[in-house]
Amino acid sequence: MVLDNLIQTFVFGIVEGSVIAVGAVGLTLSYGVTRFINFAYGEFLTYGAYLAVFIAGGLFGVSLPLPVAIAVAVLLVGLLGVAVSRVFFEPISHRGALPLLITSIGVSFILRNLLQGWVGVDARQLPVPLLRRKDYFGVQLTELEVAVIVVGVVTMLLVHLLLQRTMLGKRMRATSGNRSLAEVAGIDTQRVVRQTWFISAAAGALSGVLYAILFAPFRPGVGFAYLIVIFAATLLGGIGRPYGAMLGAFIIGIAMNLGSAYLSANYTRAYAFVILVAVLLVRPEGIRGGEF
Amino acid sequence: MSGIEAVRRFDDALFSARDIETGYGDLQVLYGVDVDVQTDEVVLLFGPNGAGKSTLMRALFRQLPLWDGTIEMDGRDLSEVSANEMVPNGVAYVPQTENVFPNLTVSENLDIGSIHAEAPAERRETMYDLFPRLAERQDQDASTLSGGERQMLAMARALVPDPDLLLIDEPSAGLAPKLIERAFDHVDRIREAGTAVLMVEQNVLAALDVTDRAYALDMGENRFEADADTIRDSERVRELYLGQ
Repeated sequence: MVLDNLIQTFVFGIVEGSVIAVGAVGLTLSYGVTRFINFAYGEFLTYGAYLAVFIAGGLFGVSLPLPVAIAVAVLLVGLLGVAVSRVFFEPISHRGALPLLITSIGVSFILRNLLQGWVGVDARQLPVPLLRRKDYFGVQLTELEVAVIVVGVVTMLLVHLLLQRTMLGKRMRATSGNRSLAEVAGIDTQRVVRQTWFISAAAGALSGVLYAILFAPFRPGVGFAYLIVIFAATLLGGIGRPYGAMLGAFIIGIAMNLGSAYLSANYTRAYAFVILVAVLLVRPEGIRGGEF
Repeated sequence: MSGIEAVRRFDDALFSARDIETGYGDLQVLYGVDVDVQTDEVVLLFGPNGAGKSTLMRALFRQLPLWDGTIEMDGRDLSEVSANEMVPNGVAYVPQTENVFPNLTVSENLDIGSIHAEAPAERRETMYDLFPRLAERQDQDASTLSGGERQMLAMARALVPDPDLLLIDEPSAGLAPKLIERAFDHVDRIREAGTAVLMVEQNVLAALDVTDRAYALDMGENRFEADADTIRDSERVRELYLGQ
């Protein structure tokens, strides 16, 4: 029985790890190319979840089936990311990382309060059914939880193929490795940065939707609050390194669930925070970042 | 200085830069420099430290804004284009340091070079023929290469698009003496393959062996310009610039 519980907790950790992994990969890709930590990233999670609710709920005239609504929401948030980068970040892109980082905190406030002013602070949830857990090889999971893992794994695979097999991925890696040389080699790096913003924001939105599927209901502060968990995973893997972020995400997810099950469920996010602090103490080079 | 003319200007040059002025912030480095490169020519830029050689290369490749002056390639005005448009205009550039993508494999570095190549597969083969060592190391990250191998990869990456003109900043920098000769050998073969070369080099005597013409730069201005033989034979130049 003890072992069953442990395995079950572990698998719940992998479910949440999938949510974190999608979010952490998006954050780390944007850092790898733009070289600043985007504190507005949490709002992409929030906007993804809210847009999915509204599009599925017929706010914009037609009510789309949930998977389609999610896809549309993810694409729209990707475009929002490009718009945000052009309005706020491109004009100051040559000023260095600190002004960009501080601007991103401001952008985060703007986006969050715009949403709150629009939809209020009432809790919302995605139109997903309450499901009974089924037995998968001795582990109890709902079909939605299985779907979250599948979406997480497929996303990781797509990111891997993007980076290793496509020219866009290679341009992104070249820009990440040496932006000045990328320009010299004939790459329009500003365009690459915009494409990266799209991918990053879309990944954030998908992560927000997955979060909303698992942990309904949610409010406009949901993404900002979850950012700490995503940071922990990103830094654990070394910021700017997508494969590190994936690994970090599953470690954080499992640690949070083990802590909740065996220590105290009151401190779920605190476990992620403790790991974040530990990374900064033991391996501060994690925040300096690398290229992918 | 007998036999050394001030600065000749070639009206039919492949690449012409005239009256180039630039600098960093408020600090002016170049005060009106002229450089021409003719088709199939290897041209050397030399001069003391701080003369502005690397700054000139960066300005010519549009990495620095021009404060004044014009740059033309094949009659096209490149004064206003940005660095990433130089390769499509037939000019490639190998910076002195950090001239490979360390996080990409050798093969992927050439993929980046291929972005503006017309026949990427053929060009890649040509590069592996020119630098067989790179073919052996195709799947290794560039960060694992030796200094000499990196320099080869940097040249290969720049040559994949088959440019008409290659700018190289210090091809021999950081290389072991044995490899320096080979670096200039490569420059010679690059010219034979139909690409003109403009290089900055401290190792002037060795570089002159593969050079057609040279410009001496000092204090951000042209000092003189002459054929390689004339420069090699000039005692004045040897005294002033070659320390002999």
